[in-house]
Amino acid sequence: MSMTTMQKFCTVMDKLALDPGWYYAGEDPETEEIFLKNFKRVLYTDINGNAVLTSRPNKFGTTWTQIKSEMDKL
Amino acid sequence: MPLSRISNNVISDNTITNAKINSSAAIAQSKLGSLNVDVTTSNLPNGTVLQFASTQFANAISTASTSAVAVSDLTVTITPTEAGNKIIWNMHGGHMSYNTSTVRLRTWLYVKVGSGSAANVHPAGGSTKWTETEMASTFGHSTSMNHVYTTTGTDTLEFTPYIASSNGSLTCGLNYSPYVITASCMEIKA
Repeated sequence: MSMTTMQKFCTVMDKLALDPGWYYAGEDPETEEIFLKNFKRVLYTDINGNAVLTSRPNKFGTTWTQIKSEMDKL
Repeated sequence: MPLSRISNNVISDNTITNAKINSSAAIAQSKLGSLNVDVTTSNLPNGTVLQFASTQFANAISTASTSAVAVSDLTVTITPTEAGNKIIWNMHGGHMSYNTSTVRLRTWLYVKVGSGSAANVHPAGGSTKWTETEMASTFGHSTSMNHVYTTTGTDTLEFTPYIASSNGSLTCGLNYSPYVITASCMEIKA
């Protein structure tokens, strides 16, 4: 059974193991535009134990090009 | 002399019809006994549903964050009618699943009151988790959470689920497309 786009995306993200983590909410990442709209990277954890997120691509620690390239290999 | 007044004892019982009442009569509540036509929150019986709000999401919600992340796509906002009422919050459905290896999805329920900060409303307080579900299959299963919140005023309330993965190197999700997850709030008079 072939993997869905989201399964491929998550498999690549597990392999990248970005630390601290990330959060994704929205339609499956078929394009860079969708990815950038829905992906957030954890910057740090605040004193209450909550993730502080950023939508700034230069803080992602990876790029859509890198992720898509790995997704296409699956 | 023309007849201008009819005394009560002249009118036979059970004879006045609806058509005889002037359309502008505006009959006072005091003349209607227990039949209450002034429907306000204060005279509704306890247990009455005063309002309902909900949101639905049919896309992916996934994370590899070990610290709690707000799932703002499932925030439900409701403004209570009065203090002391109950807000019944529910979140059901969806497809909780892992991706490459077994991992646990942790959840919390945070409530933001007015312009304050969102806070975990677990009865034990602090950062106590609401659920921790081990996912060992990509077939997944739906989520089911419920909370009864007692209002303390009429400030707007925001109910937001938070999630985290038990392992920062492993993705887990509260939902995956095309499955549907729904969060709702219902204010009950108490």
